[in-house]
Amino acid sequence: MTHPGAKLRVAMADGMVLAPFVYDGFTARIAASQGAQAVYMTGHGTSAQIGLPDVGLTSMAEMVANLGYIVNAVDVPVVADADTGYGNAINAQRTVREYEAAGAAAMHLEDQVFPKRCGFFEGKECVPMEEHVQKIRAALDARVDPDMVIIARTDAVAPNGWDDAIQRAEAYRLAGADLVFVDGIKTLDDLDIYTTRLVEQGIPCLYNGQLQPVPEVASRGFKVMITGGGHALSYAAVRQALLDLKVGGGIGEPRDTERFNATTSLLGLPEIYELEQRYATENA
Amino acid sequence: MGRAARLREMMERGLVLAPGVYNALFAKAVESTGFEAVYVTGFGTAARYGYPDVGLITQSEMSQNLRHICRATELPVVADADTGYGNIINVRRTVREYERAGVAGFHIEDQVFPKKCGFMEGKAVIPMEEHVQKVKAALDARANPDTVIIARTDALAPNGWEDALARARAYREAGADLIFVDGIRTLDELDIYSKELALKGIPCLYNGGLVAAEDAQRMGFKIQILAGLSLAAVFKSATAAMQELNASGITRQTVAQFGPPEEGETVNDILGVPEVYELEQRYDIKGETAQ
Repeated sequence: MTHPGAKLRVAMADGMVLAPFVYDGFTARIAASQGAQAVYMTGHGTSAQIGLPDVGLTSMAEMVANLGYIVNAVDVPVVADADTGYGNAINAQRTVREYEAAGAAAMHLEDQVFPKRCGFFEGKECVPMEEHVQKIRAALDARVDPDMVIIARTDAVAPNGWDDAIQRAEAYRLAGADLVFVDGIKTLDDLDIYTTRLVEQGIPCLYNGQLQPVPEVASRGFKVMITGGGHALSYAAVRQALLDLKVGGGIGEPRDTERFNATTSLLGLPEIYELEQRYATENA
Repeated sequence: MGRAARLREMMERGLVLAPGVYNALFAKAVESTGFEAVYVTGFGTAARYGYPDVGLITQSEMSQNLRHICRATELPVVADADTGYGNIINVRRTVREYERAGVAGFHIEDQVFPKKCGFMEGKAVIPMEEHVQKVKAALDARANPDTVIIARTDALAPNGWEDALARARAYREAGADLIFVDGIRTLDELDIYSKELALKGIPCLYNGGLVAAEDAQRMGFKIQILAGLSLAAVFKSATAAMQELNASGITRQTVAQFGPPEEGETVNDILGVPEVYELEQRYDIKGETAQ
């Protein structure tokens, strides 16, 4: 069987891969049904759906469980958030093996101190560059299949500035990372620096955000773009539905058979009915 | 007072309106928008894991989701326990796992295992007597006598009203705290449900939004759940976001990162990020006083 990482590598060779944020099997299926060529499993969203903030409280086992559901839900490659690797280089090696066994095509490991926090939060801190170089080497060594894509993420822009972030990105690439991911890009100026100092220097890079439309990010030369509303958008939608329910005094939306059927089709119900026929016994 | 006792007290006061969720984040949204109870849908939980609601999701996966949800909210949680995931022996374990997860009440239905969503085609039910035993087993297995055991019947679609009513009465007779006739699609059906059961002294749960809560209360119902609320909202918004991304190459930045731009809490607020920063100060996690 082709490793999902190989599929992702083929897609990256063709141009930039767009991987929308998903946080569970349902949103993964929605993204794939709308033509997504890959999906991105967010750690922030994985934490949120079990009620936790993205500050390193969610365990590797919980991430892997969610990853497994997402992988089973879609046929497209899954790019997964692996935070810091959940400890030191030894922990990172186990994390790589678990993610690969769960069916991830790619994963990113970041240079924050453990426990980490969301790339856009205040108060981030990084481990020394050399320590993360070793973690990346350990991760590469732990791969079962060399097609598994290892992405080195640096969070150094916010705490240390661009010079340190660039130096780290170059060092992680030199250590063998397949891609580099500078997170916490908040402005177009940041995106320009990222582009000129890394992407245009021939380093394959991932961009997380929506400062520009997909085609423009692609024309900058990025290999992967992760973007989209994810769980925050779902939260906003659910919250609005709840507020509407309050106004309506409990009257829900009218029962929508079309949407019900669209939802069950998305989840594979027609295939279940087919299977029931195929494996039916005579007296059933 | 425990959550199960609180749920009972709420039902004494009037109808309990419980919007349906399938993860801890949405449960927090239910609490923060001022509802008094949460319903956890099996359909949604299955969807969350990427499956249709046809009995593929296991008791342990449901319990795991419930643990996260019960930790995320202080509200009483009413949960879907499908068929109890097997026979009466399985039911006993399910009751204990659900109670330990922190659930205040849950419903067990009379479909054959593996089950189907109450609104899907092709449902089949076990003999009434068998489900009576399941209800009794569930009642016996409770560690907390306040835990609300809801007996659900799916007999309406396959067998019609006469059988559904006979089952509802038998399950109540067996000691079920509430009865839940699922698959109510029209106001006429809701009327029969109300007149034949809810207004005849049998405490009932209504799943749906055909009428407002105050009308459901007038019709004699004790709990109204809107099982599909979150899943429908997510389906619509996530599909629209993907279509927007495909069409314009961009999605809305503010919502994407930080939650609803209008008034109210962001995702990070509701998940407790401010409290994490406070704890870091309190326990000097950054070692700032040592420097």
